[in-house]
Amino acid sequence: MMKKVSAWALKKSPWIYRLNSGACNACDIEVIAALTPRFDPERFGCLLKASPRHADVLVITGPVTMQISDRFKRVYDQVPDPKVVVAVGSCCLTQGVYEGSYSIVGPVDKVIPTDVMVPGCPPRPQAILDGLLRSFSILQEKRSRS
Amino acid sequence: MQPETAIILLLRFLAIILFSILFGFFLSWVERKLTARMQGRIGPPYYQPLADFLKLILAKEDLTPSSSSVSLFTIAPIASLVTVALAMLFIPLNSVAPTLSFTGDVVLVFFLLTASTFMTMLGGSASSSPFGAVGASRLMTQTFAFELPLFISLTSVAIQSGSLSLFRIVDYQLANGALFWTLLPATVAAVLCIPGKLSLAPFNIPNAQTEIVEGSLTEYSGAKLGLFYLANAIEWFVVTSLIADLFFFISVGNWFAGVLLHLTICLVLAIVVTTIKASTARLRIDQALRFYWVGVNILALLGLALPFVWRSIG
Amino acid sequence: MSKALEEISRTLLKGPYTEKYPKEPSPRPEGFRGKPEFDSSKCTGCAACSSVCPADAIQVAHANQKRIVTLSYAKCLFCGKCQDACPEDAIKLTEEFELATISKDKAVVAIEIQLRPCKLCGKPVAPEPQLKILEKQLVDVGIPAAKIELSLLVCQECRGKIEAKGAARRIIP
Repeated sequence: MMKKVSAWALKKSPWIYRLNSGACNACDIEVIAALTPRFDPERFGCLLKASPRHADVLVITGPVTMQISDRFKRVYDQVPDPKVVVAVGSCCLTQGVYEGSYSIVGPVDKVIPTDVMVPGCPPRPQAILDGLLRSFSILQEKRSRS
Repeated sequence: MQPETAIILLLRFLAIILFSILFGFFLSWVERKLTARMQGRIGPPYYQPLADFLKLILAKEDLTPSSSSVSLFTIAPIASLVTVALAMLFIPLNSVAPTLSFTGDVVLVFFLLTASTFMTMLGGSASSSPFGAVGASRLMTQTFAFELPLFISLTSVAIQSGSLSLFRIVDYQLANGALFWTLLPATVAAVLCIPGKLSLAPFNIPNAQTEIVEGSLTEYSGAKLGLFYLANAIEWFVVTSLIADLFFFISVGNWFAGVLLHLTICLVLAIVVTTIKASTARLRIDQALRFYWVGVNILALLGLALPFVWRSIG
Repeated sequence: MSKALEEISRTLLKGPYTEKYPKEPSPRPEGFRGKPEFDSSKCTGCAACSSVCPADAIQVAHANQKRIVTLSYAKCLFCGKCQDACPEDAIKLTEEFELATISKDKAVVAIEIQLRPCKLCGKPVAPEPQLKILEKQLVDVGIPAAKIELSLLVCQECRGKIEAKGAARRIIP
């Protein structure tokens, strides 16, 4: 019963931390647009938090550059379990146009395990919101399973 | 003390603490929903603060940074919660007498509220994080700022009503009418201190997210963060309840209507404070200090002069 | 602060302007570039889309007498260059944007085009639809059927051999 209650609470109150791992900023702008009153994720309980230790969902944009790759791994470790990673934009999923570049380690799922991927360049705020909603259900599942 | 009275006392403790948790969550929700509606968006559903709290306590892992001072890091949220919950035991809800009462308990309530903030500060400094340290120092400076006018208005209330016990202050207002009219500048000064106490805009300097990540709470996660969250919710109720008792006591027939009136006044204060929050931008810490020590202090000192004026007149 | 209060009271009276997505569908603007889709009735397998794609999202592969054109929309930039380059209008960017997925290997659209085998040696000549279009165009222009058969039914090597035999017969009577 406790597990059901905690899974419900986790689904109803997912807190987001946004991280830019070397992106061109277009996806960041769309992620921030998805947090404005026009799309209002707070009606799902979703808040943007400034510290990764407070977050449940890690929203990543951009391919992983060499400069950020260890710091990126450290931020991922700072997010407490259970956590979900949402990769936004085609650079995150497959390096997009930057494939073969000298400064890129690889797509995001080479560095950390990714749960939801939102293709687009940049994806529409509604598409990002759709990806986020899917990640909240995955979060609930993770808690119910563990 | 008889075992029966001890048990009754314990039950009253638990009842008042549970009630303050629930109403604190309600006021916290009102703040978020009202801010959302003022910004043209829908806002969270009514169970949101409860869901946040349950998630933090039950579902999240609790991480402690290895370079922090672990004992202080762990004690801070517990102490913060306990002090603010203890403050609730001294506050009467309109005609419902407080669980504990003695002469000078107003000073104790103020001390407990300050101690709660102090524990948050300690938690921030124990975090071994620069954001925690800066958050702690900002919190300390802001506490310096608003405590002075708040204490001065408390002193004017104490002089006017002739007692430092909350119960007696409420009795005085029962006999002579609410202190809101007779000590208007002190009332305004005390209400202006509420955003400073609760760290709401324009005084949300200690948790300025774009500047210092989360301030004192940066390195907290899981259950300890849940305890801080709960302490914040109870603090909403304690502070608004205290101001409602000190200045806005109106007596009505039976105790139930009195409690409802008291809760309504707390809600109105929360709405006023939320409106201020939604319509202002953050101040710098030196501007906040200047605002409280110059502007609000003048009001509070005026309020301090008034009891002597009333005494010399009538 | 008074301006802010005016704005707040106006907003409180008007009500929220939040788009009720996902409960209500979200309207797309004119010319919205969403997920690309192939039209199998029009595609001739010319791979023009693959050569202009800036992100190399369209790959062409060959397997058992078929040309397989795969578009990975996890890599796609949704720029629309493939749509502009296609001579047959066989690839269109639809209005679908809800593409969130848990596996990017599943995020592909693929199309298979039959390759015509050479009559003599059996190796693939060219995609079937392409050759059909060419046949029709050549007949319209007036090329004799035998010549069409020679060029369109045999592969490059075999045709080279046939032409060389014919040229040799003309030189050496």
